[in-house]
Amino acid sequence: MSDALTNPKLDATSQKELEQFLETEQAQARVQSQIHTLTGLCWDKCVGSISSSFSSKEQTCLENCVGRFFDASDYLIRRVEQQRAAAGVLTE
Amino acid sequence: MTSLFGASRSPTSSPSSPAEVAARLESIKTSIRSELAFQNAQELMTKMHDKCYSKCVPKPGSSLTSSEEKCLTQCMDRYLEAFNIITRTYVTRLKKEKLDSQAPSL
Repeated sequence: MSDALTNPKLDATSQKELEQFLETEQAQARVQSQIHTLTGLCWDKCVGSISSSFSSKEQTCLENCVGRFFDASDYLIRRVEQQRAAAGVLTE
Repeated sequence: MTSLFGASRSPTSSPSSPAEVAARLESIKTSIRSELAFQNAQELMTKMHDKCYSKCVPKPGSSLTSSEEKCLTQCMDRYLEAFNIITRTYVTRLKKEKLDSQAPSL
């Protein structure tokens, strides 16, 4: 890596810009990492024997796999929030 | 005092000029971007290798057979295709969620 990182002679504005840049890149890296995980998961769920192209069934399964992953995530978050709200009512 | 190797490299130099700062910032960004791109490619390769190995070489023999090689070749293409389908669907959904969260909810 560049010595620029260990030798920071950036002014405050550039520091700020760099922080912003890092945040964006980190967010993007998180998305990419989740896409890798999801590709692995959905591959196992949807892909049968290997041929020269996906069947329409496999294709649809891959698309549904992503959609339902999001739905499941939303659902779990809602459930946890509901439970926390219920617990909050009890303790307060 | 100007150093032989350029003022910006010397620890005793006066504050860097705006152009030098901008160049340094750009070089930091470039190296971070390429590092992340490398990691991304590496992750894709590793995952593809794992998945295609288990699909195409279920019972490892003393060498790779030609049908296993053919399977690996096709599997590579399929894995990339799956990766692209997942990426496309994921990004579409992410955008939709963002729009929904901005819209006034009930």
